[in-house]
Amino acid sequence: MSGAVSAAPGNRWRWALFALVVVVALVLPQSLAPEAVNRLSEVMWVAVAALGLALLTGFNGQISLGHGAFLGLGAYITMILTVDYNQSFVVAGLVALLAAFLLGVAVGLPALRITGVYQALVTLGLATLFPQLVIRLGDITGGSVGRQLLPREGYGDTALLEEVGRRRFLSQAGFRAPAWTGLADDQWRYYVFLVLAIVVFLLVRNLTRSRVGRGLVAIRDNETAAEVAGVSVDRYKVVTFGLSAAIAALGGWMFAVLNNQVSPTSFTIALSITLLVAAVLGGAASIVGPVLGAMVVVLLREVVPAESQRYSQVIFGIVLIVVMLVAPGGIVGIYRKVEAWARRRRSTGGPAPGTTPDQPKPTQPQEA
Amino acid sequence: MQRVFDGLAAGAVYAILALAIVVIFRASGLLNFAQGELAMFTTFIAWTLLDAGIPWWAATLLAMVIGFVIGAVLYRLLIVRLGGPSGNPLAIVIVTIGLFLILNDGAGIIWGSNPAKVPRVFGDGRVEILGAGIAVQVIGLLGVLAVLVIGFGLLFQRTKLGLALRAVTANQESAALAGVKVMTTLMIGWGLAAGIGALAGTFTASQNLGVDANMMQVALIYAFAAATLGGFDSPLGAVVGGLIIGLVSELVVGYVDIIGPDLRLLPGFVLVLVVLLVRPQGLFGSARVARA
Repeated sequence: MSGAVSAAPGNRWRWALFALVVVVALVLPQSLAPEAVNRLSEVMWVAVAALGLALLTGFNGQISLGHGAFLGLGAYITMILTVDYNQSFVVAGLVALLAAFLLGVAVGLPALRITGVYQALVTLGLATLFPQLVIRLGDITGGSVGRQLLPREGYGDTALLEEVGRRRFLSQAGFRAPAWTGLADDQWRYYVFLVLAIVVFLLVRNLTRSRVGRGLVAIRDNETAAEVAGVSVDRYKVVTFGLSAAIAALGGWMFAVLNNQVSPTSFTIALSITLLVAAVLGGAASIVGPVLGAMVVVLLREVVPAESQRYSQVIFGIVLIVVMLVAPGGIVGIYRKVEAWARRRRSTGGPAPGTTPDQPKPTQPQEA
Repeated sequence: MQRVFDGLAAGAVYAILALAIVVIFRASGLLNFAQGELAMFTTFIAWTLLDAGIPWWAATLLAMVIGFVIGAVLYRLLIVRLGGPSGNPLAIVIVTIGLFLILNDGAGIIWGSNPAKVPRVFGDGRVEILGAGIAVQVIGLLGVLAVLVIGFGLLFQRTKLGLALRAVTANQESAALAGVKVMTTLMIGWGLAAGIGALAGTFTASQNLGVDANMMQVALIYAFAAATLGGFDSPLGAVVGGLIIGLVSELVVGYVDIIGPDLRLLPGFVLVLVVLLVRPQGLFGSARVARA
């Protein structure tokens, strides 16, 4: 039930905060270097994919260790359609969403027969298989070398190839700002991402607070009870999986647009785990959580000095374990606890603690 | 025929790891995604001992003992806090993934990322059978496997500990009421699994002639496939499943052109999907009726 219902005054504050964040996000790229803007764009694709994962894991209680594969699917479809078939980015994006939805449904179907742990297994297999498939289908995908998003106006592509390793600087190709905006490419991309991220954010928010969302949470907490209460468990689970995969594919579209190149090494199990870390760290059973988690995961790399980069996996691992043990609700879970505690403090002297209408307590053990 | 032997050799290793997975599942109804990395880590320990001049069998045994301790301690320190068998599977999966990351990267940091060399445990000899060469190594592996299966079969079915392990899985509370020390039993279960994992690791290493931090990742997927195929609660199933998976992937990779070496994992993955859809309890597993 986490965050499903909130008291009215708190709500107003939240909208104010949301508006403030949006304003800051709008102003930011005007005063930042292109590299920093791209870094923020990276936060957004991770956030979008993590939101998709949170919808599945945090709200519906299904687990996926393979969302990197859906992201990769989205990125590859975008790349191939725009480069080889000369389609627009919009068309490529729509196809990517649809394809990922269908694949998600296909992967979600067996999940009806198999419970949590087995699902982790199947999706883990998917994550491991994806890069192998990409390499095998080298004729279409470019194999282990990957693909470039080549500029349409004949930009010096050999220079581009040399830059592959430093993907952040590949801002000149492909997705360009239309002239009327007067924006630099990196800024244009940033704003497009921002709009997409906000749309996904609001979509997931409204979905989880709707009747459907309550159904999802009911399934997470007790499948049998949900079924008895009239939730069509099977359909909900499968559609959620598809939707979650489609959102991840949107993240993949953003990845392709931002990096101008895709290669199998970008979509290994490590990516799936990064998404999981982002969702869990922020709080998978919330909508703000995955966004916060994405920020931490992406910006951590900036803060951590280069020579300790090799410890990043160890750090991720420790983060996962500590979060699960100490604060299964993630950052948002901690915030909720503090908020509830503060409310109890304020209300001492008044009615006995507990009679105040607290924020509905998140069902702790279920929050993953 | 050569491919059959190669497949069996690979399958034997998957089988041992699958056995480790099954032991944990038997004992606690959980899956440990760090199982492979634990095996890799203990193999590095074995290699360090080997390097220090200890004979291989002693090094392997020591590594197994250390693995046992690590497994038991991990259970006591981490898994128990998440509620053990009755905890939220999601949380436990995430924690074992965390362990996976730490062990994988940690081994690279401690021992470096260059594979260390390991000799073949059973020597380099080959025997001719049915016109194909089979390494003594493979025969040795299969022998060890047979011993393990019989050992675990006896352990689960004939000993008090095995009974306790099964009781705890079936119903923790009833087991506790019947006087089973649930915590200790589960610690032993996780310890045993990590111990066998160490064995699987050393064999993988001696099969590859080297040990490196990423050696168990593919093996783990195969082992999961093996355990799924054989049935998650059946030691015999794990072994049969491991051998089948080893054989099938070797043969498919060898003879089906569309798959080829790039898609090594595909046959195993498809097999898992089919098994989960058609017969979720596996070939030898016992079906469970879900109760709310």
